[in-house]
Amino acid sequence: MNKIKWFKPLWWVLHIVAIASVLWIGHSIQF
Amino acid sequence: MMKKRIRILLILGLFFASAGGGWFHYAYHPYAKTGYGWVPFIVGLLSLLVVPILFYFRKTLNLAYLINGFSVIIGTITMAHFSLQISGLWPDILILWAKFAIGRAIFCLEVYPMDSNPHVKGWNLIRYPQLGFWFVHLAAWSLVYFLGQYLWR
Repeated sequence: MNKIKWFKPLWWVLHIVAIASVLWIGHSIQF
Repeated sequence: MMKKRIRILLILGLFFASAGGGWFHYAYHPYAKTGYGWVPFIVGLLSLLVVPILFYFRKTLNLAYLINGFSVIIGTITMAHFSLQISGLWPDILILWAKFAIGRAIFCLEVYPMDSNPHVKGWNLIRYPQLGFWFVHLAAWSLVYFLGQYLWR
């Protein structure tokens, strides 16, 4: 997997998008 | 041949579990009512229509395994939050983890030879695609969710 050239940028993009999304979900959910 | 049949049966298992779960959710909170109602709606659609197809093809197996695992994690966190604040959904969380097990079963069926017994050691235990990877991400997502809930106000 690490052999793929674009693996590192993809890794960063996924982590930033995931953190932002989960942060927003935690922020917006009000039961 | 039998392997292919088992894979299709497991994919069907995922499909039916997602259909039941999606139906439940739609009855409880239609997506348009609140902003976050979109979360179970979109995740439900993904796991009902997209994940089974991705699991079917070897090329998209990793993507299916990832989406399936993370959909279980976000469901666990949000339903645990609901359980602690409103009323217990713990049985539903347990049912959700059946989907995780099925997803991992499809993954292992494809990736590992039937009679293999891989010994993973050290850091590799918490790296993709091992189970530790999922425990680490469950903890990390819980933390980020918690920060959003209590600090971003």
